[in-house]
Amino acid sequence: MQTTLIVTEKPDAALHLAEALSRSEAPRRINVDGVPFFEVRTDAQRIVVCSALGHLYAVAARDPGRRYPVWDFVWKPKHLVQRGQGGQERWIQAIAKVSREADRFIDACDFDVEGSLIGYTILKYACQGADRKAQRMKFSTLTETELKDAYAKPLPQLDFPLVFAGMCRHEVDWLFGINLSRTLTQSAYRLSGRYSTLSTGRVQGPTLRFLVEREREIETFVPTPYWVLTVKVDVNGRVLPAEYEAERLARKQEAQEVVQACAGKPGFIENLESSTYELVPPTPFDLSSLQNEAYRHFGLSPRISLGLAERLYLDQLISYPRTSSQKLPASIGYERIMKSLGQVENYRSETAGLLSSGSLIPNEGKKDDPAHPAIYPTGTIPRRQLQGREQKLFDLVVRRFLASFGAAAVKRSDKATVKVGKYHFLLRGSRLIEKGWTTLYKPYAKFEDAALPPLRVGQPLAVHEIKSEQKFTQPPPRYNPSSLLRKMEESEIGTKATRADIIETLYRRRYVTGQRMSATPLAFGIIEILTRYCPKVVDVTFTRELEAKMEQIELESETRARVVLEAVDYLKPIIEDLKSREREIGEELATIIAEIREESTTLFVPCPQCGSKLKILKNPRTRKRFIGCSGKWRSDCKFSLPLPQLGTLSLLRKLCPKCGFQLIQVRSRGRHPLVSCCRCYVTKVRGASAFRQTTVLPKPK
Amino acid sequence: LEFCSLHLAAIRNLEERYEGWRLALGGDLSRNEYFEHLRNSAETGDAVKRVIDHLRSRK
Repeated sequence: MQTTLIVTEKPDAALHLAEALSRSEAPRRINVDGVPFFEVRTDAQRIVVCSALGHLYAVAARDPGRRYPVWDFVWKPKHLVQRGQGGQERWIQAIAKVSREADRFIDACDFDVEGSLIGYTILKYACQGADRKAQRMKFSTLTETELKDAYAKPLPQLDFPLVFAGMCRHEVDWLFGINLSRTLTQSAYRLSGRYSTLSTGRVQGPTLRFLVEREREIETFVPTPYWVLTVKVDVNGRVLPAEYEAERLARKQEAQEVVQACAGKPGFIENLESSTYELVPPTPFDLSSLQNEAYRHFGLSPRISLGLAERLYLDQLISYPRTSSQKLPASIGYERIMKSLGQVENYRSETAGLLSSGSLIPNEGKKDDPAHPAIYPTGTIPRRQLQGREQKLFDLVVRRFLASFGAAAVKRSDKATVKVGKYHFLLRGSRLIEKGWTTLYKPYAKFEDAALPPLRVGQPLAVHEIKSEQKFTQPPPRYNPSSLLRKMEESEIGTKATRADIIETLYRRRYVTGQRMSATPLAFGIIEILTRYCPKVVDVTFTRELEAKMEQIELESETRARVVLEAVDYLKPIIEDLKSREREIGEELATIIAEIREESTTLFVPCPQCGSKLKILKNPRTRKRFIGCSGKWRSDCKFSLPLPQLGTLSLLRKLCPKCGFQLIQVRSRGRHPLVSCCRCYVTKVRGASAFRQTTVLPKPK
Repeated sequence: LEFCSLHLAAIRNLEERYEGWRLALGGDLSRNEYFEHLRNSAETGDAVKRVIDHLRSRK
């Protein structure tokens, strides 16, 4: 009997595939050294479906140690090169054990660069070179029909161009990351004697530079004044604001002249204009637009929305989310999906309306992805009750899918010119006269109708008030995770699979804080050093060129070896130069790190007993942290307060409303941050109102 | 040099915008009044405010 081993990317995908391939009875779950496999038996063959746990292999230095520069690398099991991956060892051993019984191999990992690489490394290293004889399944949803089709007609061999592009990306990123990060970390360590992980990378560097440059613009922003004029006119008993024809006036005197000239004068309608225009339906979601929309409506970070979308994909509810495509081929079966979604009460009237319209043509966008279509609902009805954020994201995907098939909406804009004295003011109104797709995309499509009342040319109007308001130009807004993701995409750096993780890394390294991403002094320091000593490393152009070359590998017009060698040639002189300046760089970094340490451990609020500085200290014997008084050595002050021992602690620039002491925040993995007062023990978890009346302290200089 | 690149940029912006402010407010705006306006404005960058404080403290 022939044994076929199918490699999938995740355990849920393995189960769905096994279920799709089993004819009558459910697949048998077998445990090999504690690792689950699914077995399906047919008349002539035995199919074993195994899963990875993401990447099981990673790039690592050929020789261990923390030396730099390092140019020699190999692919090694991930548990040997990264901490916290211990469980992967038995996973690899179990796959290797099962592979010895197999005669045929199929890679059924997600069909993209990362998925192809995961499958390839498992087949090559764990399955003793099975990559050369393995076949490849290609699918975009985990539905039974698509999985059966993909199994019946596999590609004859692995998608090597995607595999090599993926390998190249990992290798180049590793070369950049390891050499630059070790340069920074070890330079600082040698000078300060204290260890702080400082990282940068091929994409991380330019991304951080966006944030630092924006912060710099905000920090050095000098506003300029301008004036905005409005009059309030009475139209058939309704008081409406009309704006002065010039949107803003640069001089106070000019604004005053208009106000004086118009004061007490009546107005009349001099001219009426109206125009209608079409609002085309939205395009189907690619990953970035889904992440942006999920942030806009639900405040979900790009990483969380990707995680939720993957969960929905594994539950067979939506198609593969890591796609750049905004196109929906007819082969996905528009009508079938809509009929199926129509079984759900929430979508019944919308799908019925579309199905009765006669033709189903989605408004496709320009972006395409050779591997997958845009994100769409599979039509599968959820087997379990979706909760909270999952339900929201699913609803968003379904409604966007439906809206993309909707008719164009038509908007009418009206503009009335009101003449007061010799000056012109504008009354504006707009309304949707054809709602079109907006009814399908409720509540995500919002248009505020502000129609003007009926007006005629020459109609006199009473002017109630004329107002000149001084305003100031605004600094550019800080990035948030969603707008930064968009910026990365526009600048063509990173990939749809990696951008969200890079943003999370910036938070983890304490380079940024807050939802409105504010670059920290450490980020300023890192970017200043990199810009001074190796500007190309934080230059978007270089990173973009490298991205383009890696894409060419997918198209087989470039080779992995050539791109990696080029990257080494490029990086070598930079790292050697940095190494020769280790002392200078180390001094700068050590100073910044010391300042940050001092700032993050010193409270603004002085000791209530002796007035000295309060600090976060560690008991050298028990290693427990607490707040202690720095006056202990001078005046023998014994003031101290206990602190939570678990989680990442940060001092907030806010005071407790009850006792006036400085508040702290504790962040623990998987939990909402806890804000607490160490003195009177008032605590707040997300949503509580205990700290609404807090006093905010100024930023430190 | 007395200032780092961030604060130098703040000074440059401060100088560049002064003439615009003078014209906007009618021409008789003293430098001190200009600083006062900016110091009290929520839109002014923190580095600019620090530079203003520094310049005032030197006088």
